[in-house]
Amino acid sequence: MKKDIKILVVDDFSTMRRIIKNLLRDLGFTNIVEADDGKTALPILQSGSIEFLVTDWNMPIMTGIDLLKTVRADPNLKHIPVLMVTAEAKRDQIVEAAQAGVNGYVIKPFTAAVLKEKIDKIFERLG
Amino acid sequence: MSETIENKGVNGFELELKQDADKLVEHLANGDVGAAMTLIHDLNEKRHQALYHEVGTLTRSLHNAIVSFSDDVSSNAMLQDSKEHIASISDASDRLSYVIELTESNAHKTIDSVDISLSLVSELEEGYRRRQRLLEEFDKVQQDKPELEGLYKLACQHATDNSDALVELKERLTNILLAQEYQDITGQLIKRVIQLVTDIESQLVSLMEVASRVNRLNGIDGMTADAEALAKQKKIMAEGPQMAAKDNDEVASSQDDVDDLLSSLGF
Repeated sequence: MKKDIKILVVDDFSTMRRIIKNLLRDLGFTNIVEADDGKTALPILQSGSIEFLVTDWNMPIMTGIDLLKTVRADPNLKHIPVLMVTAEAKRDQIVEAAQAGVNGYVIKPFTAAVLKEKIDKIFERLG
Repeated sequence: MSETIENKGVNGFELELKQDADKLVEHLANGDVGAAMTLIHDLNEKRHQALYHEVGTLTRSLHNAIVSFSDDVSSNAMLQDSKEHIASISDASDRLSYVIELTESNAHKTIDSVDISLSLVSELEEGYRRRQRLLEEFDKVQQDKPELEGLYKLACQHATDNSDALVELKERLTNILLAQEYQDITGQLIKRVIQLVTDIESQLVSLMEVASRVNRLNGIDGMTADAEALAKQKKIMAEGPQMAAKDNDEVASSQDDVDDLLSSLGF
C-alpha cells in the first residue's frame, strides 16, 4: 500500500475529523485534507488527486450517502475507494451504502484496530 | 374561564355523562322527546368543553416544562463558572447548543495534549536510538582500551531500555484520543433533541392559535388581546427557530405572549 496517497476526510464534527486524521497518521498516511460535508467535499474531489475518501453519513446540506452516490455517478471519481465511518447502524442503511458502492463501513464508536483492518482490507482488494 | 369548567376535564365529564344518561332514559320513558334532545345537545356541548380543557391544560404544562427547563439549567452549579455565557443564552435549544460547543472545545483541548504527548514520546524514542548508536561507538573504542571498560559498563547500565513502556504509553494516548469520539455521538443526539424542542415549541404555538380561534368563534372574552398576542406570535414564527434564538428579547416576549395567551384562555 502506498503511504503517500492523498486522503479526504469528511465529517461535520471537527473532533471526529481530527481523530480520524490522527489514526491515519499513525498508520503512516500523512497526506490528508478535510471537508465538513458532502457539498464542500465535492470541489476538492473534482480538483483531482484524491485517492481515498473517508466520510461520515449524517451531515448537514449534503450527507455522506449522497456524496457516495455522486462520486459513483461521476466517471472521473467513481474509481475512488470510499470508507464510511458513521453512527448510522441500521441494517437498511448499511445495505443502502453497500448498494451505492461503499468499500468499507465502520460504525462509531470504533477502535483504531477496526479502522486499520477495514483500510487494509480495502487496499488489499484493490491490489 | 369559569371555575366550573376548571374543575371538570374528562373525568368530570364521565361523571356527568352517567348522571345525564339516567335522566335521558327517564325523559324517553315519559315520551318527552324535546327534553331528551336538549339533554343530548347539552351533553355534546359539555364533551367539547371537557376536551378543550384537557388540551389546554396539557399545552400549559408543556409550555411550563420548557420554561422551567431553561431556569433549571441556568442554576446548575456545574455551569456557574461560565455564568457570563449562560446570561446571554435564554432558550433551551441555545443551552443545548452550548453543551455541544463546550464538549467540542474540551475534546479539542484533550486532543491538543495528546498530540503534544505523542510527539514527546517520539522524541524519547529518538533519544534512546541515539544513545544506542553512541554506545555502539563506545563499545568499538573500549575494546582496545581496557581502562575504559568500567566506564563503558556504567554507561550501559544508565541506558535503560524504555521502549516497551513507550509503546504502551503511545497505545494509551491513542485510546485517550479515540475516547474523544463521544463528542461526535453525544453531539448528534443533542442536535436531534434541539430539533425536537424546536418542533414542540412551534407546534405549541400552533395549538395556541387553534385555541384562540375556537374562543373567538365562541365569543369568549379577551378576544382582542388574543388577536394581538397571536399577531406577535405569528411574526416570531415566520422568523423561524434560528432567529428566535438570536434575539433574546424577542424570545422572552414570545414566552410571555404564550403565557398571557394561555392565562387569557383560563389555563
